[in-house]
Amino acid sequence: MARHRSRRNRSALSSLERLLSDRAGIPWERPSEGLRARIDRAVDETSPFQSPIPLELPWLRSRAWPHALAAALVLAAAGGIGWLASRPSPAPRASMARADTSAPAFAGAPSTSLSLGHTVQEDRQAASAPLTPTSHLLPLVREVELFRADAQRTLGEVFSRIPIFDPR
Amino acid sequence: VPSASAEALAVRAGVGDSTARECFGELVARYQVRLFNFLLRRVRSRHDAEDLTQEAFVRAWERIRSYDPTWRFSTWLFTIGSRLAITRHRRSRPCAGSGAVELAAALDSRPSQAGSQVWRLAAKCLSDEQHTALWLRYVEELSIEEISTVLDKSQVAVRVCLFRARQSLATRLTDSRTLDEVPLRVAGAALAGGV
Repeated sequence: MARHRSRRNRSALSSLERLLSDRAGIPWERPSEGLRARIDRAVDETSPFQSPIPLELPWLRSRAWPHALAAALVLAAAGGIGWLASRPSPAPRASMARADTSAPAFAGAPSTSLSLGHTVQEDRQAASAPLTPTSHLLPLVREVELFRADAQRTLGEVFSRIPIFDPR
Repeated sequence: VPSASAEALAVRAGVGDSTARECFGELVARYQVRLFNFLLRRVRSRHDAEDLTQEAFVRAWERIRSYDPTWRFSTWLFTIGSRLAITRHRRSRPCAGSGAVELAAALDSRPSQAGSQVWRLAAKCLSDEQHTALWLRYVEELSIEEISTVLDKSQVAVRVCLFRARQSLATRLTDSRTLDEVPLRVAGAALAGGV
């Protein structure tokens, strides 16, 4: 009984498919006569080739994402390096105080004052003196500045190739 | 231009040379009625369907440069139309049933061919989504994948939607042989002939 119903159902469905696929029986409706003129008028008023800003955002398309990702990575790397470069370097281990066992024994009173505190005049002089790196740090500073300029130029080139920053 | 495929015309229109507008005009001529009929099944009102047809062609013209020729032009155009219909539906919320009555009344004036009566019944008893999916499958002959793109649904959802629509129609048509609906008897009899 169930098999019979199933067979009948399948047969009804295949007949229905035949009716639906019958091209002569498709009830096409005609739009009003003025629709074509309305469409032409509206299309003529808009142009996809004169718009200064593309309506379709190109950076949303999947093809643009690798570029955006690369730019983000470069930006993150440059930021990380810049941050590392701007951090104060730790005191060099080599210059740390060491116990010198070969020091000569105390022979007499020192010629200079042993006072630990600075005088007011010395403090003022120190405050007004320009902050210049010591001579052994100069090559390193120059290197960092060169690297920073190089990174900025590279970033500029990368950004100029990303469509979102394209002035067109 | 008249012999070129729709996809080739769309690509040429997207290039933006002197023939771009002419190519797009040919596309409007070819797809105006088809898009209107699809949208009529979607919104069930002639006035709304005409407005949406116009709006969809304008939107297609604006975005013609982004058309990907790996897709059929009809799929791309119907997707634009379908999304516009959804947006309009969200904005306006028309009173339920009025459009269905309008479409059914338009189809009632048709000669009583079996095929057209099936479509008349579909307009009456199926949901908008089922009716549209059925239209895209059998009239526009789109694949399941293409229908899922146009309706923004998964392929499984489209298959289920089509299955339910066919089941519902078959049941209605089988039952109509016992009802007093004269126009439906033609389709019902055709179905019975198949059985």
